Amino acid sequence: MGPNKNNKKDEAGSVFYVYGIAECGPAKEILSASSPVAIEEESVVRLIESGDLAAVVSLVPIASYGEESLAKNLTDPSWTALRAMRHEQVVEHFAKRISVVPLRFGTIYLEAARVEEMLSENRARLVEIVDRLRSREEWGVNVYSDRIVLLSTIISVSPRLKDLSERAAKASPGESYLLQKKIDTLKSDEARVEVNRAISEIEETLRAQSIDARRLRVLKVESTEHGELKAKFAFLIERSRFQQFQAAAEKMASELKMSGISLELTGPWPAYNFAGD
Amino acid sequence: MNLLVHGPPITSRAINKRLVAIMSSPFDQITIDGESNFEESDISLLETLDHVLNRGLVIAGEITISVADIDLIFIGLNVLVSSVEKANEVLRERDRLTSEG
Repeated sequence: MGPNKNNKKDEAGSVFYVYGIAECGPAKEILSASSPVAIEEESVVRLIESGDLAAVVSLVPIASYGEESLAKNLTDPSWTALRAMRHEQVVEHFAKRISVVPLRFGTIYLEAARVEEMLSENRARLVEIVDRLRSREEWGVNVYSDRIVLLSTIISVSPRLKDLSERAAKASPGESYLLQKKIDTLKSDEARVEVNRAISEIEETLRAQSIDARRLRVLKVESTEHGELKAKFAFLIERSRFQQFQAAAEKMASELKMSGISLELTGPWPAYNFAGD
Repeated sequence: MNLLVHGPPITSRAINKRLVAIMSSPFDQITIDGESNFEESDISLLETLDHVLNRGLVIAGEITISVADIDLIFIGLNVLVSSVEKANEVLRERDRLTSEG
């Protein structure tokens, strides 16, 4: 049954939930100083060691985390929200102090021995990721577009639209109506072009300020105060270079403000989007 | 649901909140247990879910129960996105019960 006989009693009906992987020594120090709340709060966050690596784990009941029950639980928003936040807090507890390979929500191992095996089998790759993530963090950039602002600026920017709207003002009611229709179509076309141009510019500019970049999928979120979410990026940034990155983002933001495009910076995150692929 | 106005304190780092809202430093500001500021962190919640549920390295093996299927998560996330308000209610209720009991 693996080398963890001393805990056998606690482990009846339990499996191992793995949060992430770090270097053993530093992870131990952190855990001995303070321990985060585990995903199931009655359990304790601990390490499973293998050589110089350690997996950050805690026990969870198989009744809730078995393949089928987890699938079911995940459809319960309040269950998932609470667990996802706890998962994140545990990862952050380590990530803000040392280099950590964050694992995705719901990585379960049945036995400690299997976790050890996983660590030793993937050692080279894991060590490489740990090294790559050292003193770096992930920042998110969300791009929003306020359509109303964008449409109103588009007309003052585009000479063609300006010309058309002047003609529409002078034309007969019938002609004016048709011209107005044309203007509207043209406006949304040009707005779309402008948004895409801005998104590429943001990506290019901020990529130059970062180690690595990923474009993420956009969740279908309702429009917000800042407009509609148009793009989402993750950037891997050297901690010491964050200020430059932030300055670049702010510069972009002020340049794009007129067009109703705004940026939102979120972070720092554990490097979820840069932990291998 | 007004996603962008809430969020953990952002002022100290936000040079211009309207332009570049540096929100939700998740490293320090998300707390869920005890006296919860869940209401304030609904953006962080969505952002966090987006990070936690769909990304990261999954080391799959025969022994691993591979649960975090993208499709599955995606459905879960959709549910969540539409019902963060409800989740907040439930969590507040839970907190209330916890603090009483």
